[in-house]
Formats: sequence, C-alpha cells, structure tokens
Amino acid sequence: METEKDKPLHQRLYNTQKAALASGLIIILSSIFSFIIAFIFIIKSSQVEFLSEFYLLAGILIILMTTILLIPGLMFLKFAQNKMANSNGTSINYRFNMLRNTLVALCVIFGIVGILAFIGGAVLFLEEFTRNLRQY
Amino acid sequence: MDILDQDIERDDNELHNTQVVQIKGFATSAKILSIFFFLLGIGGVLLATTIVLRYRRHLNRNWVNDTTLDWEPLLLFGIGGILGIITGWLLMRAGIKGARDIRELRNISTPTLAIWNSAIIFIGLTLGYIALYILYLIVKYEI
Repeated sequence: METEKDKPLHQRLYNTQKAALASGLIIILSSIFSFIIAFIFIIKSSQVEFLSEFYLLAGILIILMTTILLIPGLMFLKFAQNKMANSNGTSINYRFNMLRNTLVALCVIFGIVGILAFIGGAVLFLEEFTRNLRQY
Repeated sequence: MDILDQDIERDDNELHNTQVVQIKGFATSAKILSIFFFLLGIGGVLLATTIVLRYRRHLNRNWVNDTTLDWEPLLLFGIGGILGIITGWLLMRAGIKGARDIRELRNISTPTLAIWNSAIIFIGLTLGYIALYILYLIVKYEI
C-alpha cells in the first residue's frame, strides 16, 4: 500500500499550495483594505482646507507601500494556482521557481523593514534601559 | 516503446535535476529571509519592552497624571514582534531541513513540507497583522 511518504513530490506539495493560497489571500485582502484607505485619503485631500497636501502625500505613500506588498501576495496565489504536474507536464519546475522568487521579493521588503525596525527598537530600548540604570 | 520509456525517464531526470536546484534556491532564500524576520521580530519586542519600561519608570516616580500604558503600540509591536520571531524560526528550520533533505535524499521529505506550510502561513499572518493594525490606527486617529 502506498503511504504518504511514497507519493511523488507534486502530489505531496498539495498542502503547501493550500498554505500559499491562504497566505496569499491574507496579503491580498490587507492590500485591498490599504488601497481603499489610500483612495479615501486622496479624496479627502480635495475636501479639507488645512494640510491637504499631507493627505495627498499620505495616500500616494500608502498606494506605493501596498503595491510593494501586493507582489509577494500575487506570487503566492500564482504558485497556488499551478496545475498538478505529471511526467508529461511542464509546470513542475515552475512551481519551485515561483515559490523561490516570492521569498526573494519578501527578502527585499523585509530586508529594509527588518533592519530599520531592529535599529529603531535597539536604540529606543537602550536609551530607556540606560536611563533606568542611571536613575535619570 | 522502450525508446519512449527511456525518453520519459530522461525527461523526468532532467526535471528532477532542475527541481533540486530550485529547492536549494528556496532553502537559501528561506534562511536569508528568516534573518530579516528575526531582526523585525526582535526590533518589535524591544520596542514593546521599551513602552513597558517607560510606564514602570513613570509609576516609580509617582508621575500619576502622566502615567498611562499605551496599549495600541504595545499590541502592535509586541504581538507583531512575537509573530515575526516565530516566522523567522520556522523559516530557518524550513531552510535548514530543506537543504539537508536535498543533500541526503535529493528530494523533500513530508515532515519538511509540513514546516514549509507553517512558515508560509506565518508569513501571511505576520504581514496581514502588521498591515491591518497600522490601517486600524490610521482610521481610528484620522491621521
């Protein structure tokens, strides 16, 4: 009897595709919310009299950030949408290519965000921690 | 018929070799990404700790009027940071185990695939949580 371990990789990969689908959907939903809020900001910029440029700039910035977030989300969905591969199929290589490219895109985003968050967190923490030590 | 079988076998071997290279690439990317998630998570947890330390300092000095614990940034940085650290840990395991499977089996084992699944789900959770929480703050305070 064939066990789970004996199955070919493209069949065992089914759960990974489902995970990528769930992950991709969460990211896409977050992006859609972001887009809606960005457009609200841009519309609001024409209605307010004070600081209207700020609203416009904030809207454009949110759209930019959302677009960057959208790329790995769509890539996850694309990976999840691939058809099952077989001996005659061609998509078996494409799957891992797409999954690897998604991680590379995430590396670019989180490379910047992660380093900034770490430096910011470490600086503020050290400032507060040493202040407690100095009883200042 | 034999020639056809040999052709299919050769095609499968070529596919498998390409696949092995791509899985190696995935494992390396996962390891690099895990470092960035660790940095993000540690930064978030440090910021949350800073908020609690500041609150305790204000309490110790009896600055009663100026003492409130900021729950919203605490939840954003604290839970976001913990999610980031968990995602980094899962990605690191996915990368290490994926690379080991390729080295020893030239394929991916089912337990490793299970770790990949968890890592992918946690990437989505961390990203979604941070993005939606920031949006909630933007809407609440009408920045």
